[in-house]
Parts: sequence; structure tokens; C-alpha cells
Amino acid sequence: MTNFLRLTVGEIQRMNKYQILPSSLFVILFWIGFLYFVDDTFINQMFAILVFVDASIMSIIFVGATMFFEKQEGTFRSLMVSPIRKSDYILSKGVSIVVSNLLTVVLLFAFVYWVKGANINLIGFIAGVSLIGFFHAILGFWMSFYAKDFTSLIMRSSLYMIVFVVPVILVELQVIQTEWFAYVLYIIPTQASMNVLNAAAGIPLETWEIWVSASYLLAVTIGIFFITLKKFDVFAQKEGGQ
Amino acid sequence: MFQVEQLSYTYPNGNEQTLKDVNFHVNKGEIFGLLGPSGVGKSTTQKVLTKLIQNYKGAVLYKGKDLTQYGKDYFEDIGVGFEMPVHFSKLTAEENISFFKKLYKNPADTDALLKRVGLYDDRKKKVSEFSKGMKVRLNFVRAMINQPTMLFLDEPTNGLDPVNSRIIKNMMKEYRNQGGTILLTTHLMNDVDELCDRVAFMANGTIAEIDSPKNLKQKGSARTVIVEYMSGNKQKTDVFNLDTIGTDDAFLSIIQQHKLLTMHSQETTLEDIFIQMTGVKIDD
Ligand SMILES: Nc1ncnc2c1ncn2[C@@H]1O[C@H](COP(=O)(O)OP(=O)(O)O)[C@@H](O)[C@H]1O
Ligand SMILES: [Mg+2]
Repeated sequence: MTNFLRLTVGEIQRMNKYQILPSSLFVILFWIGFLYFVDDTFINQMFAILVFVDASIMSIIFVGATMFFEKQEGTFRSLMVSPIRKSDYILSKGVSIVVSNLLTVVLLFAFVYWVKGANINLIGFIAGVSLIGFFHAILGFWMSFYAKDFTSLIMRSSLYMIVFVVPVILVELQVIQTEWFAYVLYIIPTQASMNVLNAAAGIPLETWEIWVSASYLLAVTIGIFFITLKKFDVFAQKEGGQ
Repeated sequence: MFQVEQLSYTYPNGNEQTLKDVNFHVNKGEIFGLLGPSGVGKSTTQKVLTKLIQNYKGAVLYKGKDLTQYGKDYFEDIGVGFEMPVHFSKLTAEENISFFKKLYKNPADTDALLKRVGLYDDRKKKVSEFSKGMKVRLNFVRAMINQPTMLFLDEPTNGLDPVNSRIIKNMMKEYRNQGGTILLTTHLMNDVDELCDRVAFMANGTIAEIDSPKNLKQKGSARTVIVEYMSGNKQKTDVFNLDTIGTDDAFLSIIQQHKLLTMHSQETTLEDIFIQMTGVKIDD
């Protein structure tokens, strides 16, 4: 096993011990209850929206929680004096979150497939969620370094939700119908995320739109990964030096 | 092992320099102590040498090569014992140890270490249930987890009862006797006196003096004898030089002609020397 895998396995085990995975399962139960009452004609769209929220905002909060514990318990420092690559450390955070996102997708999928008889492209969702979850995990990593405590992380992620997540959902649900607004949203990665998930949910989209969104999402994910890698020493200084 | 030259550091949010032109070297196979009152920058120095702080001024060489030239393999070589607890509190001691252990190429026999520090029977307990002293001992195991050739220990006996403190100190000596090198950070004079081959006195962010504890004590002021005696019905106190009392007439006449109340020899302690040399007092 490489250190990357060891870190990832350790991270997932801790997400379990620190009640992060159990809370994720609790949220899934809540969503299953919600989907149960959704009319069959809207089920694909609601499925895509719920997965979108889980892979974005939940990823930020969950990574924030793990970082918060690592800082508080001094284990971040202990990791920083271990023979691991910083890329392994960042990747392991992203991948563990994606694993938890995928757990949500599979469980929700099982529900809508068997109980609701919905026709959804699971592979498309797995691909989409992997990108979206990873992107937001790294975003959460950033935010937690600039947040002084967990409360301030929650504030930041709420702000992110209001600015980047809620408008996308409002357009999606046609609460906002202004056409130019929908196009403005194209510059933010969350709209691209929603498009990719919609495509997987079988909601009609232009082919070019799907490709543009998927490529855009991939590009910002790779971009943020390398920026984080570059800035990691600054981050680590802030914490390790404490 | 280490060569530290003109090391200076200011914390980003601090307005004063924490380390000012610190110079010292650590020889292979010795226990080198950094001694000073709390807040002088001992832990900060350790953070620089363990690469937790990187934007320092000056040079730090490890085995002749600049510290900045080392990658992650540096951490295969060194073991770091922290002052504060550094464990996942919701994991057991064993889970913590096995997680960190697997990250290294050359892991130690951690069961033996746990047994030695008296934590083996508690290995299945969550670290959150550990007492302060147990966490300190677990930190020590964490530091030794990769069979390091260079060991950093920041206040390793702080918060330990005498029995456990003894165990850790014996393990440090054994480690040194097997060729290991230790940088020991502490504010405890007795630990330094017992363990260190050489010690650096640290005060106000810089190093005032470096030598062996024995040499340092000899550099201290002359040894004295304080005599309390009755002169008539009055109590008097005089001080004599311990090295010359045999020929000191005043001293001899006192012990022959007066009733003695007390007589104490004053050996200079490391503590006295520290105060003499730095003008600063170390208080516990
Ligand atoms: N993270 C930090 N940010 C700002 N100042 C710090 C930080 N850590 C320590 N200091 C300051 O640096 C000085 C030296 O601290 P430290 O190296 O921990 O001392 P010691 O280990 O000798 O007790 C103290 O004045 C302390 O307040
Ligand atoms: Mg300290």
C-alpha cells in the first residue's frame, strides 16, 4: 500500500469514528424521506439537485470538520512530521470525501430506482459526483485554513451556499426565469456541476453544453488542486507553526 | 548532526523577534539540551529544526546539508516528540500508533515501546480517556515510532509522576547509548543535569552559554560554607570559602570556641549558574 492509500483509509476510518459518515447517513435518510413524497415526474430533477447539494456543500462542511479536529488535536502537526507527500495528504482528503459522496449517490439511487422506478444514469452520476465532490473538498480545505474555528467555517460555507449554490437551484426550479441570469451562472463551477448532473439524470441539455460544463469542471478541479499544492506550505506554516 | 547559524525567526502575528541569532551545533550521539524559562523560544527552535517553520532567517544544516534541501525522507530519519498531545482522541492508542507507524519504512516494535512506558494494557482505550501523563507517554512512543536516528523531545517529562519520568529518562539514555542523538527541550534543571552531555542556556530568544553541565557548574562562583553560631547570647552568621576553611583562622576559632547552630555547604547548582549567566530565573 502506498502512503496515499494509507492516508485515505485512515481518513475514512476517522470520518466514521468522528461521526462524519454517520451524520452523512442520517442526511441520506432524511433525503430518502423527502424523495418519497416527490411526484414521479420530478424525481430525476430532485435526485440531481439533492446529489448536487450533497457533493457541494456537504463536502465543504465535512472536510472542514476533519481539518478542524486535526488542528484542534494537534494531529495535523504530527502528520506534517511524517514522511508523506503534501499531494498525498490533499488527495487523500479529496478522495475520502468522494467516497462518502458516492455512498450517498448509490443509496439514493437504489431508492429511486427500486421504489420510484426512476431511470437514471448511475455511471454518469458517479463521474459527475467524483469531480464535484473533489473540487468542493479542496475548497473546504482552503476555507478551513482561513477560518479560525468551526463556526466561522460554517459561516463561510453558508455564504458560499447563498452565492454559488442557491441561485443555481433557483434557476433549476425555474423560480428565477430571467435568461441572462442563467448565462451569468455559467462562470461559476456550481452551475457546471449542476449541468453535468442534469445530463446524467436524463434532463435534456445541448451536447455542447454538457461538454463545456464537464471540461470546465475538470479544469477548475485540476486548477484548484495545483494552486492548493503550491499554497500548502503557507497553510501548513499557519497550523504547524502554532 | 545539526549546525545552526544565525537563526532568527518572528511569528507572522508577533511583533517581536522570537529567535535572535541563535547559534549552536548538535553532535552525533549526544543528548543536547535547550534549557530556559518558558516563552524563550525553545519550542520554536524545535519547530524550525523539524521543518514545521520554514520561513526563518539563517542557516540550519542537517548532516552537512541545508534543511531546505531535504524532502519527505527527512522524516524517516527524525522522531518528533511534541509538548502538546498530538493524537486522534476518538481513536484508541493502538489505532493511533498503527496509523502513524504504517507511514514509515522502518517502523519500531511499538508493542515493546507501549509495554515499556506502561501503556500496553491501556492500548485499547480511546486517547480521550487518557490522563495527561498517559498522553505525554504516548507522545514519546509516537516520537520513537520510526526508530529515528535523531530524536526531538519537547518537555518529555512534563506532567509525569516520578516513576514514569524515570522510565522515560532511562529510555532516553539507552537510546543515546545505542548511538542515537537527542535534542531535549526543557525547563527542568534536574533533567538537564542528569541527561545532557551539553546544554545551551536560552534566555530572551538567544543562547547565552553552551557547555557540559559539569563544566558549567565549575564556572560558577566559589563554593561556600554558611555557619550559624552563638556569640555570647547573640546569634551570628558568617560565610567562608569551602576550599580554604582548613587554614581559615576565623573559621577555625568559631568552631572551636562557639556553640554552632547550623553549618551548610553551598554547592552551586545549575540553577545558580543559569541565573548568573543570563540574569533570568527559571521558575517551575
Ligand atoms: N504561534 C505563535 N504565534 C505567535 N507567537 C508565538 C507562537 N508560538 C509561540 N509564540 C511566542 O514565541 C515565544 C516563544 O515561544 P516558545 O518557543 O513556545 O517558548 P518555549 O518553548 O521556550 O516555552 C513566546 O513569547 C510565545 O508567546
Ligand atoms: Mg515550549
